[in-house]
Amino acid sequence: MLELTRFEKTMISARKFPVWRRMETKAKRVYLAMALRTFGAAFEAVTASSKECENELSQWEEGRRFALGVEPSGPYITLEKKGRKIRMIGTGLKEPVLSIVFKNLDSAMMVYTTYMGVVQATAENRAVIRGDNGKAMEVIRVLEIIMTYLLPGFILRKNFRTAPTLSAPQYLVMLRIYVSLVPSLVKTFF
Amino acid sequence: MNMPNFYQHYCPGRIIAGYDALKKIPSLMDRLGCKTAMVVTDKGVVAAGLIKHVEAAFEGADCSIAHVFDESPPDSSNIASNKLAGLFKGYKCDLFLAVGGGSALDTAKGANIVISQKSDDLLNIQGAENIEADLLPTIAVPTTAGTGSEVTKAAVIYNEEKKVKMLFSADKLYPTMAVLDPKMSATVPPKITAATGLDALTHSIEAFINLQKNPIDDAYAVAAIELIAKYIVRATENGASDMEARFGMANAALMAGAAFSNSMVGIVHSLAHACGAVCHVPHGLANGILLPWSLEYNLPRVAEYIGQLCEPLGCEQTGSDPLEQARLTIRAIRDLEERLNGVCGLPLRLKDAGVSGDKLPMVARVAVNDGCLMYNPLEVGYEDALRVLRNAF
Repeated sequence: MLELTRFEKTMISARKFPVWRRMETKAKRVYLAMALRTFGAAFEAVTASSKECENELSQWEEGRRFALGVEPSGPYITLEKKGRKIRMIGTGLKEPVLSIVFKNLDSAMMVYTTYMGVVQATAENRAVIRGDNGKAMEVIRVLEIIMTYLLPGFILRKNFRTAPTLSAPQYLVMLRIYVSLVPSLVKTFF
Repeated sequence: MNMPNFYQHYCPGRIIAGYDALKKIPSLMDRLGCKTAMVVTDKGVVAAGLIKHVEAAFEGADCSIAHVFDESPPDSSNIASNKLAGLFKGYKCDLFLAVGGGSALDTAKGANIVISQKSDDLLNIQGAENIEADLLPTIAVPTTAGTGSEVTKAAVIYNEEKKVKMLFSADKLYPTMAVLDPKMSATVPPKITAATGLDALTHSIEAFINLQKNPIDDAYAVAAIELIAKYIVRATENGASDMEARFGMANAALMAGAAFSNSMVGIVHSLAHACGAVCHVPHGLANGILLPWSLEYNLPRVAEYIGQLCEPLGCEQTGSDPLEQARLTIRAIRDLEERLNGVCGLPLRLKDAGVSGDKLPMVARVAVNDGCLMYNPLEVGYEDALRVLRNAF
């Protein structure tokens, strides 16, 4: 028998009020907008430092533009391959050739709060891919490299099919990434 | 099995199955409010005289066949789909009647996407779960027992420009109805019967072990595996003289299709799509060759699930060690394939199926970009894919 916690019961009661539901939706949207901007900054920082990303990106055509986000009305970010790294062009959909978007706020929340991995979310039909599936696989591989450098081991073990492990030189790269993430975040948010 | 936290199962089409089921097609069209069918098939099906059976079903009916499009290539392609879409509009048809193997069925799905998305090129509509407009009605009549495309939301279409196979998947892609008539697959040659049957076996097994496995798809998958274990050798050996085996395999392929349409497929299909795209190995054959090697790759993560397939495959469970059981399952699959090799000369290695060793790195590179890998229980990188390919070579 499924037992609800007191917190869950309280949340269910609160959702009966339309005002609460609107506030909840707004809060999720704000959180996801921030999470996506952070990911945008992470794309810039990690692709500038990681050898694995460099190898992946060497197969990409210059100027490939892709978007991440949530349907039906955002938030979104658009990114582009420039040289050997990826830069964030900005928020919103800016003519991407490929977009990987979640079907709704709740599905996106599961992934951007690290409750669920990208692969599991896709396997559960929570995401929509618009564009070349092969290119989507390439983006997802880069996304997984980024998560490998940024997220703690216990989350990686929970969310990855094969938990990645970092070597000693990769930990040094990780440090460099954390340092370079600060200016990227400042640039992204301000 | 461990219960999943979340899953969906969707299999909306009506299924009409039995001897002379073809005769129901006009009344099914009537029920759908359709009058003019575009038959989508290939030259092999026409040469085998199977379209005559379909045409005979329309005698004296209110509805009619406007045109028979027999240009579906061995691997359905974006160019064939675009051409078919143009003809469909030109003949003012209102229903696709797809008669053939996976290629004909997927060509019809591709054309249907082009028309319903108001495009003129299938390449503009690539993606997954991205088709929102309703598609035109489709009645699927499979002539091979393997693809399961008659009940799936997937279409695999060859991109002639990039030389890769594209996977389309969306709920709107389910055919409206599937008609299984054993006489439509009675004359399939032994080697193709075996290869397509192994395709169905691969669908069931991958659905059973994948990330999105669930109790409903498991039931379809196990039932399909039991039928395949019982009938595949008989259907290959006896051909048209064993209609029970033919009908059994047709049902198995359909149930395997229903299973994988929800749970999806994994590494075997990614590698097989790449073998098809790079070396033009027939899909079912590539699946059959790669299946045991890919199961060995997945053993560390899903030995328990693989082991549970021992009994449906017809071998006895011995002991309780999941790894040992899983190895017995893989042995049973290899035994089955060796029997088929004895009956019809079905190749057991990639090198015997027209793959040259120097192409393996390219096959692996194409495979790691195949969307099916998203559903495989274990991560698959380039080196992993290459290792499995080398083992199967």
